Amino acid sequence: MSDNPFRSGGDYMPQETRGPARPKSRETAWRVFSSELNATKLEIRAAEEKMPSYVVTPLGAKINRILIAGTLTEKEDRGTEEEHMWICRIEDTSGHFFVNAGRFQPEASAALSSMTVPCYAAAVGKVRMYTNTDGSTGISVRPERIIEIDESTYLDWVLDTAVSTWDRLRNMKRACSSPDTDAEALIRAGVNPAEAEGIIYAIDNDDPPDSGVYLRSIQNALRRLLPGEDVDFGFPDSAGSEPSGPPAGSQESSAEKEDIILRLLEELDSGGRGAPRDELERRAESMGISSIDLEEISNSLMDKGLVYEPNLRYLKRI
Amino acid sequence: MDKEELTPLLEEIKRVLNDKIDEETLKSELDKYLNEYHVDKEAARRGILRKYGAIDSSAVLSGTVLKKIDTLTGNEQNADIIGKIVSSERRAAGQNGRIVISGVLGDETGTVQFTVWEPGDSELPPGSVFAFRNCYCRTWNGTIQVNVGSRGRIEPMESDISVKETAASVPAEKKKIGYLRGSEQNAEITARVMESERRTVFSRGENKEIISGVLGDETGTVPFTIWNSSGIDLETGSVYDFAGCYCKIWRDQIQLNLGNNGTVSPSSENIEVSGYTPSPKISAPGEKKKISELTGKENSVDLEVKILASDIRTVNIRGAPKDIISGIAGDETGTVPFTIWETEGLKIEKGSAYTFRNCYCKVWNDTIQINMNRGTAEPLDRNIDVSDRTFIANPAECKVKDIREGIGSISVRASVISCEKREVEIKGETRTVWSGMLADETGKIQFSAWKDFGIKERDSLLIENAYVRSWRGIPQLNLGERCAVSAIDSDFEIPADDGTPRTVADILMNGGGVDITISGTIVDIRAGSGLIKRCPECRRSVLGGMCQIHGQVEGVSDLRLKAVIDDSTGAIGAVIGRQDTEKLAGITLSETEALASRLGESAALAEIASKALMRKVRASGNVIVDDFGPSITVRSLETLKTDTKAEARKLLSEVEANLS
Repeated sequence: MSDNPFRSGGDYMPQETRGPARPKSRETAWRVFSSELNATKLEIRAAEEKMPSYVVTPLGAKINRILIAGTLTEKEDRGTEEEHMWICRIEDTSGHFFVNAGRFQPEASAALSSMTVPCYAAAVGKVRMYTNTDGSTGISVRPERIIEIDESTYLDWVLDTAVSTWDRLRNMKRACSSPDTDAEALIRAGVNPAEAEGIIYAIDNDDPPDSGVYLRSIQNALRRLLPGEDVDFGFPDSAGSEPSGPPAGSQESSAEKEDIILRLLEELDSGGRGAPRDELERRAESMGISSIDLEEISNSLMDKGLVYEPNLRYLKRI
Repeated sequence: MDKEELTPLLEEIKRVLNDKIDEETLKSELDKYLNEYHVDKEAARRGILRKYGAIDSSAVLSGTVLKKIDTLTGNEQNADIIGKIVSSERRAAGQNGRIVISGVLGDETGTVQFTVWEPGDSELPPGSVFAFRNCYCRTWNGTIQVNVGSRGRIEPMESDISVKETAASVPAEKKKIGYLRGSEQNAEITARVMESERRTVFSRGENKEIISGVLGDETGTVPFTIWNSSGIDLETGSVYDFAGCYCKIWRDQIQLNLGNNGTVSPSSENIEVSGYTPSPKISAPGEKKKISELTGKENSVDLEVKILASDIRTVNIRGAPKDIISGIAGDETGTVPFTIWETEGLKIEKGSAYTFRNCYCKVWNDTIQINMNRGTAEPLDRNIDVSDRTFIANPAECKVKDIREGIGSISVRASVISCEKREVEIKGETRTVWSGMLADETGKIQFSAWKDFGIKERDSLLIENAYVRSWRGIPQLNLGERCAVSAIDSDFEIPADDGTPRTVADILMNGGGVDITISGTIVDIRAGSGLIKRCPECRRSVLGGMCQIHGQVEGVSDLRLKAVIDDSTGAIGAVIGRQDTEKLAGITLSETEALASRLGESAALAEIASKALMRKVRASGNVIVDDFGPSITVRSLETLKTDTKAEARKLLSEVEANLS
């Protein structure tokens, strides 16, 4: 059996020990209007190390990362000269996105410093659900990248987003009209697996979406793309209900979180080998720092040269 | 928008800005917002007011609310609480002795735990009243904790407060098992104990006795753990009320936990349990099966097999290296890949027979895999005749684009685009291989023929019983000893060289390949982009003047981008070479070098990134999928120009057709 197909010994390895058989990949950047994002009430928080968090929009977009574009109408730096904390608004044809960029978004923070309002901007970033003091929730975007773009790039985005909003609206309607549908049935009907999953999650956990909101978003997008042409789905021009207030910025406590982690590292370093990761994670969680945050914080601390990894299972204070 | 309509808005903006900004400036600003950028009046008003400093951020920032303890939700970012210190303790956190004060705070509505992270010289004696300003809250297992961090402060108050002794907690919710979402902080359930076991675990530096098992009700079952098991005795089969439960998700499964705040009490309710299957007991023998009888869903199965191939590998599991044994096992009915996850003291020899006990099965790429974790492999003293079945049974005929690893033996009709004979060394043995490219109307694939089938360029062939192996995620067709090749009389419309259009979602599902085209937006530029030096001998990139192969070399300058392209179905890494980078960024290599010598390399890269980011491109090249996800080595790249008006009209008529 000299041409044994299995000679290399590794090719047929199961790629993961358990869980869904999907190769690892970067989270898709969803194209979603602000009207749809801001209407989002559902959040799937990461429960396990290195698992991403998502929000699920009323149309079933299960979003971790998003691609947005629009007019940067407001920006304000609530940080310091050395450490920016940008709070911005980006208006699209349906409303506006809240955009926050601080020390964990160094590229975006730097880019925002040199942008002048108003200008067209596009951003790719993570979405984060925040809770206002009155208990209501909102969604902000933390850009990994943000740059000034020209009008035609913006209009490309408006078109792409209108098309994908329409696709989601249609898929959602289809799913809602057959009561016992499941993700598999949707996939068979041609919906891509990630979207099918989100749609079913939205149906199971949310009220049926008000299609008027999204038709109006599409109408407004088409009016912007086709000025002077007759685009009328029977909705008034004005954008939908205004989402309330800018995000309170959970990021502001990042310095505190870093302090917490540094203290924990000292506390848990009993043998001088550093703090065991799993123990650190448990303790951090007990102090309200999720494993995702912990990852972010320890990366930041490593960048600052305050901690290092003697090996994969330990983290140690320098 | 005409002037008249704008006058009231302009007047209002002027008034709010106290006439500090002249009217012409404001007019032109307003015109820009409204007519150039087409935002609505409210956005324009806010934008201008913010720009000229009239929106007071402190009002928004200090949006603190005075809260009573029983109204805390645990999610507060910025709350003020006035309360009386019930208990407090100044303690050192960590070896370096950083001092914090923690304790319990109370008001008329309840009590809550607190921590002051930077207390300085402050004293918080029990019985005194303080205002805790700018606090943030967190929850832990259903209890709420108030934190005063670096932005917060504490102020002594004169008044007195009578404290109600109820600890603040997340409101309890009554739940059925089937409706648990995995994020519950304080759930109450009534359920029947289906399984329970008391055991000792090592947690937080100490041995702890816990109870774990499975609970069930009409809506389903859930694994549970009681972390503080003292005084709790669960009888399997009885019904209990569980209060103060919190949930976690572990390996896609919801787990119910009872911490120190949880309680268990017997319930008289009668609960019918649905959906319960007993957990596999490791000590019990698995179900005995032949390989052909496996369904891929077995939780505990015993097999008598002969080892056809076996290899020890080191893999990374949750960040730690681990030795595993993987290979191919066979019996009279077929063959199956196996993986043994616990290899301590275990030796698996190729050609020997074993009884694999307590294996579980998984299906990967439509192929059943057997796995052994807590099972055993016992040497078996008999010979097993291994069937050839999986190699030759029902070779499925498929199109080139559908070829992917794990589909077993296949047949394919295709044309030979190229073929060359070469010598390769495999495990010290020199072999002759005929390799090249095949194509049908759906795509192209590389092939390797391990014996001489007389394959020539431009042949049209029916290839039967070939097998598929992937190299870095690109499936390749292998023609081995069992393969049959015959000439056929058909023509294929071979896809043009600009590649087969695919989506990233499709690549993730079906693997990479050669000559693929993807269209999407450049959403990120990664490290390793920009100016690099290459070895003049081998073109490898050179770090610090050292080539991995050729040592100290005088590097040759080059320009490249490591970009991320996102097509809204997924994201793929893209390595873009000098020519395409120059075209995309509108800057040549020598201009980039000049820029870098003037402003530094990172500024030069920032310039390129600002041109490349958010551009919509079509990229063609070979796509691999490996541990880091999919990536494309771009052979050609062009900027996509969309006729937005035409596309918008298309969408318009589609929506209108659906509305009427």
